[in-house]
Amino acid sequence: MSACKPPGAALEPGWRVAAASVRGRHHRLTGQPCQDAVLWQILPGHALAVALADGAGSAPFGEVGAHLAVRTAIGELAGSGPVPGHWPGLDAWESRLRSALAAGRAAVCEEAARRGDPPRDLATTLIVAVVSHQGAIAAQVGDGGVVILDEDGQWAALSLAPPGEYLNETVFLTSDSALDSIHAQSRTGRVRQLAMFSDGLQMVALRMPMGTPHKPFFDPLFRFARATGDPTALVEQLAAFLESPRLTERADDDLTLVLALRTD
Amino acid sequence: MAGISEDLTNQAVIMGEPTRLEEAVEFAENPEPRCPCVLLLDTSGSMKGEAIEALNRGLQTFRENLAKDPLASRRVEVAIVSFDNEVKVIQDFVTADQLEPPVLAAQGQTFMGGGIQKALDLLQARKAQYRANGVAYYRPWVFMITDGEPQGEPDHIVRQAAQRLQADEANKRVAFFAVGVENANMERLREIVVRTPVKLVGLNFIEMFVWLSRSMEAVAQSRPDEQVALPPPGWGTI
Repeated sequence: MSACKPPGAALEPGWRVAAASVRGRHHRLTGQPCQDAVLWQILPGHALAVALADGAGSAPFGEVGAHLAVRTAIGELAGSGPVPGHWPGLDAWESRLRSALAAGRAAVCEEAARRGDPPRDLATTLIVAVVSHQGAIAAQVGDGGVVILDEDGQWAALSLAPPGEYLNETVFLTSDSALDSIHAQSRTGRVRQLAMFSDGLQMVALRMPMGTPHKPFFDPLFRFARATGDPTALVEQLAAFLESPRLTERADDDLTLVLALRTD
Repeated sequence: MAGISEDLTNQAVIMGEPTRLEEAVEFAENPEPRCPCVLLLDTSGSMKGEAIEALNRGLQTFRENLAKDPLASRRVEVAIVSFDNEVKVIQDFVTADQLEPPVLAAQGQTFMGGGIQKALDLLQARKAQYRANGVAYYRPWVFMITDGEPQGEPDHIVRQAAQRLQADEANKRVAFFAVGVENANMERLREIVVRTPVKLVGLNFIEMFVWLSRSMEAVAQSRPDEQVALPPPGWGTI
């Protein structure tokens, strides 16, 4: 098994969340570790905050940047979470998400300085999303994406990176232009399911170039997640899926997938 | 929250059908992303003998290497341009699994400047085709394999090609590698290309594919030293 430390699954009040992260074929070939990191937390009021970071393959310590980025971002969001029963407006959430990205960037740059490395050696992307009963919002620097299933059973992309010219080139949290390159999207209305993924899954999970979620990709995953009450089994199966030859023939990057579904 | 009895039922389902999930999930049908690659090959008289033989072997290795990697063989598209007294497109773009490496013979002078221009033209046209067809792509590569001595062209032709190459590298339009065979004049090559030339001996094209397709910074680098990314060790000597 080349799975990274499985980020795990949990039954939280109102949510079932499972995340798995596996090392890509390229990283196995070059002996690099898995450079993706993922973290989530339930905020007061049954809101869910999720962060995913994809350390740059070209950065020697991308995984350090990625782990630091998600910890800092979730810490920032949890510290500024809503009081129960109160959902701030989407504008207020957008500024919180932007602050979380800025805090992630600052933490990674500080860590680089502490180690005496240039920030680009810790380069990573970062996506953050918050969902509650009233709406969902996501903000990201770099690639990867967030899709949601709304109350009417329709899948939609909540946030995707604006495409760059080259598939393997993106903006990182450590880039000079990072905070000017934040891509934030929100929508009102109840969200039943949310999936967040690193860019390695993009070509199998989305119909390109429109970037619309591929329903036959997400539906079976969520049916499985809904039917699987045991968190350990769920994560194991998710990791096994991400490592299955059918998928690794199509994607050689580190792969991370977060599934979150409402249980209330 | 799920109840305990539900948990047990589901565990039984999972254990009974361990591959259910990967069989159930369908993938989106997207065009395979492409990585255009031009092999720009010196077939001049100075390549005669050992050098052209090393080059022919290198082409076989290139094809075999890529064929071993299922993703590379589908994604890397190869075109072959030769330059001696004329510049010829020997092979238009095909995926690596379709490539039939030609056997090259050496003769004539070394129109390297014209060859570089042709390679860059081909890439520009190919990218336009990808865009028109909604195909995602990686930054194109050129491998110029030579003994490193432009010959027979007016100086300004070589100079113009070097200038265009420098601009294309700075704008991230291409990653251009000069690969020297046998007793290549590495000094002269350094004057023409941006990245440090490498020797063909021991060149591992799969490592190169892996290295070139890592996730990279999209914004053009402000410091020139960052444009000259060197390959990792184990790639052949400088």
